[in-house]
Amino acid sequence: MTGFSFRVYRGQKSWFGQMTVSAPSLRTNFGHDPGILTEQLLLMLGGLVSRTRSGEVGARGFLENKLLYLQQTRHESPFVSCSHEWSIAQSFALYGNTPGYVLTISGDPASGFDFEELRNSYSLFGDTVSHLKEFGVPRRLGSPFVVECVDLVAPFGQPAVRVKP
Amino acid sequence: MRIDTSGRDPLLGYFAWAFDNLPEFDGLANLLKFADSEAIGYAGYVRDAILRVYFDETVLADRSLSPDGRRAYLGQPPSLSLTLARSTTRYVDFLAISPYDYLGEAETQFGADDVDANDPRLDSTAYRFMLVNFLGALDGYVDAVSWLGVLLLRGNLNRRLTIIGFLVTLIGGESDLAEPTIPSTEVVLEWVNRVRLFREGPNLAHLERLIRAYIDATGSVGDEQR
Repeated sequence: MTGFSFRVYRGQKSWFGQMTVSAPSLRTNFGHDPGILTEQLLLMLGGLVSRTRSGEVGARGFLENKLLYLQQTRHESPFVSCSHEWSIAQSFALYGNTPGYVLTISGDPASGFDFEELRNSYSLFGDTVSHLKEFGVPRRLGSPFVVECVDLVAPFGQPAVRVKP
Repeated sequence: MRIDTSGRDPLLGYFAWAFDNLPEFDGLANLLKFADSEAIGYAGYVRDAILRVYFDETVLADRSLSPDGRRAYLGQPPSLSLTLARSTTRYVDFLAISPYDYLGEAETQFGADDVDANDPRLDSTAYRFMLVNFLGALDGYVDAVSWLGVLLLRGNLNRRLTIIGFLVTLIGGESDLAEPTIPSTEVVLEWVNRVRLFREGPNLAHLERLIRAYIDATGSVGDEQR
């Protein structure tokens, strides 16, 4: 337990006890050090958010574009993608009509990147990816975020089985 | 994006997303800040520019004409600015056959772009290709709808969600996306089949209206925007 009541969910196809769940940008070789690239992306996004908060119209436009790009491409997001909704995580876990795992993650909301909150706050265009209610955990799953429990879910109405704790 | 699309026509959001994120339109978009939507000509300029980029991106390479397998440019070589803007490969350069052939092979092509080992360039070219085909489809090109079907078939889960959302807005129909979930395999294949059979063009042509709406919205934002 982290002491935070904030919860997000993540669906994935495999899970084991000491699994490291990392952001796509850390797993992709762009010809640079993935760690440095990830830090640069996080720095840039942090800058865009603070400039948008300060009312800069141009930064708002850039942020809008960047959020769409991050959600559309598979390799460049510096975030571990989670969702505020269990049903979204479950649909990712069950994709292809095969069983998968839903991770329930608790942690400090201020340490993550809330796509949906940003879109709502600054009226950003979200298209249908807004349905995902995405919350990004930077770099990899770890402090201040903790995997509280893991459920094995199966298609065709079969009941979920708790595998952790 | 250069304009605030909230509370406006949903298709304007897709238009602005594509128009403001393709570098070929940067200069034109800056010019439109000072344009009047009623003035004759602006919509035509934008439409011509879109048409050029659309064909440049979607015409399959004629490998027989070029010894190194790259596209042979008929008439004139690409301009320096275009070469610099497009230093990466086009999405269609990864493909070899027409969109209709891909759509007819749904089982073997399903999720082909969504493989971990894939070159990340394929991902970014596919993103760019999606935006180009949004514009093509909004200008009434049935082929653009077919190319979106190819991306829907081969792409990642989030891209499928977006393309289905766009097609529902553009050509109507049930989205099966009322529930907040990603589209299932069955929904994707059903849409691929719909796109394969789609042949109606004229009712797609929204571009001129959207260009005017975009120009009006650009004027309302103010000069501080880039």
